[in-house]
Amino acid sequence: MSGAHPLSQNVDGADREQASTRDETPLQALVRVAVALRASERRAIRERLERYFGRPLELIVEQDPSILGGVWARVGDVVLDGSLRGCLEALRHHLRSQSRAMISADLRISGVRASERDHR
Amino acid sequence: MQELGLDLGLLLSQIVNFGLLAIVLSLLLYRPILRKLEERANRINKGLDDAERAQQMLAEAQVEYQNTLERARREAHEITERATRLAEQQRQEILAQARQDASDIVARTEQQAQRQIDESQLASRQQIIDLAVAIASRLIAQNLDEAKHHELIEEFLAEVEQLK
Repeated sequence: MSGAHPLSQNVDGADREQASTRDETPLQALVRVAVALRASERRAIRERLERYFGRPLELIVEQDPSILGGVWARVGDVVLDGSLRGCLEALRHHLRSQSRAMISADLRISGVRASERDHR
Repeated sequence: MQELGLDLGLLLSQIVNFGLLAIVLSLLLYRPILRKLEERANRINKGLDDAERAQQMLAEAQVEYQNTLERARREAHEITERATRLAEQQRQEILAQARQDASDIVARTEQQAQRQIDESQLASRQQIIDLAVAIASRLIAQNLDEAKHHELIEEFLAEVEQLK
């Protein structure tokens, strides 16, 4: 996975604070993976998430091939998207934005050319 | 006198008779004829005067006519020139307006065409992007083996570890 991983995109300090209240009751953590998790992986995911949110979690694991690969997790309102689907969606979003920006730039250039020609 | 064969008495009487005849002729014929001739001469002179006056008046009328005609020509020329100038000015204004309108229409049409091209390009690019992402998804799904899936899970765990 690359450095610009979407994993960090949906993590906000306030959201994390909200998710990690001082309450010790387990918080539901929905985890989606493309393949069946090994027991060690399940344990590791629970540990890492509990450490990150600072409270016990009740892990619900779903197998969802549509995420293609990696892990997608939601704890409270916080989403940690480490899936390949998330990567591809982020890439698509970025390319679409770039495409729109390029078209807008072309439009501005053609507008400037048209106004210059009108002045002549 | 007698030696010359002339009768003095007869001569005297003839002189007297001639004198009387001359007086009578002068009174009855010569003077009226002279008067008539004078009247005729006066009439002729008056006719000549009238004719001269008429000719003078005609000349004046002709001059006046020429002046009036010249003035009318000048005015007509001025009116024509003014009308021509006005028409030319209006023609220039109409032409300028028409050029401006045409230029506006061309600019608007070009902008619309450009916008449509841009929208079409944008739609095409986005379709290409969607298609590329869909193909990439399909290829990834087909080529990702079990081991790679678990590697990705490990990477996720490592990244969660790095989150603060």
